[in-house]
Amino acid sequence: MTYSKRIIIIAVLLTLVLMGMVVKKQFTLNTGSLVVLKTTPVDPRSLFRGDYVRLNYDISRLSSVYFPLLNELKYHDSVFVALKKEGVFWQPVAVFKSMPESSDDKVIIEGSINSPPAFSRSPQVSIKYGIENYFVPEGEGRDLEHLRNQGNISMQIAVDTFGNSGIKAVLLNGEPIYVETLF
Amino acid sequence: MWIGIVITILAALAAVFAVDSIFGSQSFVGRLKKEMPDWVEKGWLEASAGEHILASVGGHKKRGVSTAFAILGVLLFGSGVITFFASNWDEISKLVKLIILFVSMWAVFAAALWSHFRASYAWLSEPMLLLGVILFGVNIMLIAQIYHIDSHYPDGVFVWGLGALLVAWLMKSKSAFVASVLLVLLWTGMEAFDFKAFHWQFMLVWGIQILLLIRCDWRGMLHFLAVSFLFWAVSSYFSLLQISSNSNIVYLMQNYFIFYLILFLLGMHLSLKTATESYGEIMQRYAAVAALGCFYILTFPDFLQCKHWGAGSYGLRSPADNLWLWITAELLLVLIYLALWHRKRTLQQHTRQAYHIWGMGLLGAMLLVMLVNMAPLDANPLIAVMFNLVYFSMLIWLIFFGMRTGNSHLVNISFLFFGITLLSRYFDTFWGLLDRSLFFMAGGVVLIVLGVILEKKRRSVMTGIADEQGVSS
Repeated sequence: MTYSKRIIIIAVLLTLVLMGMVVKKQFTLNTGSLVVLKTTPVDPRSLFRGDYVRLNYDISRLSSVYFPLLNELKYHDSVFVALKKEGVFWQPVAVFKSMPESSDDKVIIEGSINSPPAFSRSPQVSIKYGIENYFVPEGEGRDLEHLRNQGNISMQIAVDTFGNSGIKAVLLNGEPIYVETLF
Repeated sequence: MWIGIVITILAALAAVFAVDSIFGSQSFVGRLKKEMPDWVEKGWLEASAGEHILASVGGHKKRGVSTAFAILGVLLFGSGVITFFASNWDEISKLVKLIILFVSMWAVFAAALWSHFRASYAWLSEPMLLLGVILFGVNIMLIAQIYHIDSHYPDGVFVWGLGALLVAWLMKSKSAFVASVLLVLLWTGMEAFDFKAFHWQFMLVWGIQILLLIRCDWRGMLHFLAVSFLFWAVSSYFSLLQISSNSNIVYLMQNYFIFYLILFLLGMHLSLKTATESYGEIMQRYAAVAALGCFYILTFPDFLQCKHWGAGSYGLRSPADNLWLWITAELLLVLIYLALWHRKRTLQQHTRQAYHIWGMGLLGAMLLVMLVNMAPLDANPLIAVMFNLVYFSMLIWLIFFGMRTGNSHLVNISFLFFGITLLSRYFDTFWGLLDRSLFFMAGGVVLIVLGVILEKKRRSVMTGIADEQGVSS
């Protein structure tokens, strides 16, 4: 194989990997159902990663008392949480080990077990959804922290038909302050 | 954190290539200049051909220096790119950001292609490939940032490492290879220490790296792979302990020791053939360090009795259960098979020496003391004495082996462990017995005397090796 062909193969393969990351997320953001989740931002600043908000959601900690299936799951296991709109926010109503049948009034979001009951020795199970980081423009992390203390920060999340999720917008008192657009 | 990682990798690469290209080629040219007149005199080489060779190699040296500087340039340029994007990132729309990321990576690979086909810029091709690898990693991080992706972060480093390995494989690029080794090392370190996982997946990638090394015959790179393997082995030791009870710390260490002995024997096998001799020598060197390190730890009575690491009080260590007996038996079978096979090969080649026979005896003693240690006996201080006796016998054998095979590294390693162990025994014995000031004063004297004696002995052994090599050549 010639030098030129080899270098083109490299460039194409590396681009495909990067495109895979972009397309997967962009698909979720463009096609996903939108849900609003209540959050509690914590630790808004990291010296080495720039300004970003670390997010905890109400659905990040579920009780195995209400959802006994969680007792069967181990660290890093996938879990599918059914969300239903109750008032402004979407709340967890059921959990599954695999993707359930879709229904009109529910949205299924996929997460992974971060600390199972056996690990944490409490009925609270920590779940990660991959939407726990939000990068903000340099210097605005402190402002967001200040706003958080004043009002309700919530997140608009896009959830696609496979359960993948992505952050669509940051809401302050229900109004968007950061919106994710391609252009 | 990410910028720190990138800069560390770049600095390591630049240092490696600067040292390799400048000092490596200088010593080679120097040696050629020294040997060439002798070859011409013997009629092996025409005088004019000799001049051409020296001119050509001298040219390589100049290009080597250019490559080193170009890589340092890549280091600065890469840092500049990261800083530029970091300070202007918020002003750019998502689509434009993505276009910049992809176009910059393609442009760098195009530059590598362009420079490769121009004789006066060919030296630029390798640094451009490295810059392409760096940009690939930067792009992974920035796309994750653009889309607020919060996933299992070692995966990003893993994908970056695979990208570097792909470049190394297809372009036979040494700098991309070093980058892949460092990135895969970082990946396994994150998995082991941040997520406490026994990270067996590392071995799959490491295996591919070994294949590439053999394919390209990059013997010098074996040092990198040996160090990364040892790092993985150490991190895996702690991961394995997480899924095991504390008293198994001893049996796991014994198994590690047997495993390194197996690697040492494999190195001895490789040394039997001229084509693989240099691989075998490097393998023996690292396996010897690792095996001696493990056995050194096993010589401590406190370790053998699990007085540390929260396993309980004196003498409470439980005997090895069936699982450990089974694993140890399997490893021992492999070890014995390799030893017998080596015996057969050396007998066939008529190269069997006295140290081989002594080595077999020593191997028997090692296995015996380890099996006794696994038996359900009351904790007995004699076990530690036995371990120490075998350990010092190993050191003496290794010095003897290094002398006979002309492997000066093994001699140096043995003397180093000899010194460390004697000092450790001094600390063990006199720490509680002597007054503190007297302890340190006496320790200082012991250290100086020990250093002088060991260095004197080491030099006399090395002179012996040099003399033998001079006679044989």
